[in-house]
Amino acid sequence: MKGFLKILSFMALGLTFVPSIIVLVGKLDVDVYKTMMILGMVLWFFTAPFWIFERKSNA
Amino acid sequence: MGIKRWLNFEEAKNVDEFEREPVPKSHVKDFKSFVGLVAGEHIAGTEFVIGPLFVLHGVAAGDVFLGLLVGNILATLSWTLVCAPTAVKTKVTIFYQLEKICGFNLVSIYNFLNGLLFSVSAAAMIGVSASAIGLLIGVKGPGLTSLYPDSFSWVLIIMMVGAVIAVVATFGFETVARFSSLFAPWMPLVFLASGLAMLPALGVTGFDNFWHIAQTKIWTGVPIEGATKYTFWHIVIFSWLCNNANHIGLADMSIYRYAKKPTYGLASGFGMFIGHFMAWIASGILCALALQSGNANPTPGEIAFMGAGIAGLVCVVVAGWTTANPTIYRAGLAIQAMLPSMKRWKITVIVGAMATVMACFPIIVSKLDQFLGLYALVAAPVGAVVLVDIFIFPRMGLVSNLAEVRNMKFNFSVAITWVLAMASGYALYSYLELDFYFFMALPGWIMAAFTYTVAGYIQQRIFVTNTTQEAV
Repeated sequence: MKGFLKILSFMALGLTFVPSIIVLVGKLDVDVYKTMMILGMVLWFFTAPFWIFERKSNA
Repeated sequence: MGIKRWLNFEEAKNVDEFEREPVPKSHVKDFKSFVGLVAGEHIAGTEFVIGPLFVLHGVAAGDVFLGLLVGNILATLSWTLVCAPTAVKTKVTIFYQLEKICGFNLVSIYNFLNGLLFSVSAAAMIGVSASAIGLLIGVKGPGLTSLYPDSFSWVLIIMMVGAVIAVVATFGFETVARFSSLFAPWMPLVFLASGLAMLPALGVTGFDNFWHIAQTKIWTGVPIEGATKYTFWHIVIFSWLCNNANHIGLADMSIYRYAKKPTYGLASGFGMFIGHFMAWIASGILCALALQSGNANPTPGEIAFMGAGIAGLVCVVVAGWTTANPTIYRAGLAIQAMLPSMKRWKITVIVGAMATVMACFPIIVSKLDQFLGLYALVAAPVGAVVLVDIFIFPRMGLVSNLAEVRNMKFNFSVAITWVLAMASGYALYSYLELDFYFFMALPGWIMAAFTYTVAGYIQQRIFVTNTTQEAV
């Protein structure tokens, strides 16, 4: 389950960053890019908290 | 579950932050904790102010890239070679270490100034976050020169933001680091994406014409009317010394005392190159676009919204939080050192409330650069004193931690050093008519190191020895 959530989190980061490259090369509208940024943000905040706090013991 | 744990106040009351003892080996943190914390801390809403500052002051494109590269390398080295080794050797906060050196009465003055200036800094972050939330929900905040808040809704937003920050800081280093780590991977991508996505609007069509557009439309080398011209050296010194209180001033001993090795200071590089390189470049690009659109004085919220829409606004809110959390945490530690019998969590709540109240008054927030400059003048000499006391005095056969050893409440050699270094820094600043106080942090730091070495030698070899002989 956590592995799946991690994949979704990385997809969220992809949704946050990749559209800007597509805008840069002129293949995506700025409004669509901003909507994809919102989707990326929501996906990140709903998936990352479930795995990102895991920490190896460092004692 | 994580959020429930954050809000468990019983746990907050029992958090031991080792305010007056070395951090035990069992509590050291891994490198990743520091990366998350500093990456979050150095990507603040104010990055949307500093990047544009360089554009408005007419820095040339080559100067901004090269200056940021050199300045951020110097800042990272300052954390790695000055702050982290001192923190790892002592494992205590700057406040407790300084008390051992200069005595409770003198350190209380330093702690009071620290607590106050950290609170002002946190208030500014709360204000920036609140302005973004205001844009998001349609509540217009007061202008930066207003004396008082002009609506109840605005005060409510400030209180909400301040409450989140104070609560997170109350739970101590572990929670502050965790809170930052949640946002650390996402925030830099928002900055980077917004900078890249807005390049075509400035005329960039590919790598081939980026540099030409950068030189002619972004960092043109020509300041706007009424602004002074910034050069390569402004950028180097700004990026190196804007956090001087934290690295050469050793305020970040509070953080790096949890490090296993001094090399963990290299984690600061993530904060510097993401927050003070990439984010400043990205916000500079957005500022150039705002200027092109006719907005000569864009706010952080407006810039972020233009570059990334609602995600940009949320990024500004989060960036304010993740910077204010460790700031309030440090302010709590500073005041706690003055009032050792009072619990840190209670003090942190009080400091958080104080910062929240200050954030309601925009005039305080708008003077942030002057407060930070003042803090640089105050903090840098103190870092030099601690460094000399720990690493140089033993080599000279002098006693370290003299106040603790001699049970002194006020060490005059430290007081003289502090006053002389601050006075000479201010005099040099006035004489050279510089743009920022913190340009004088390095001369102040060097002056303090030299003066304390001499003053400490005279104190221990002449005054203390004579007193000891008379006592014998």
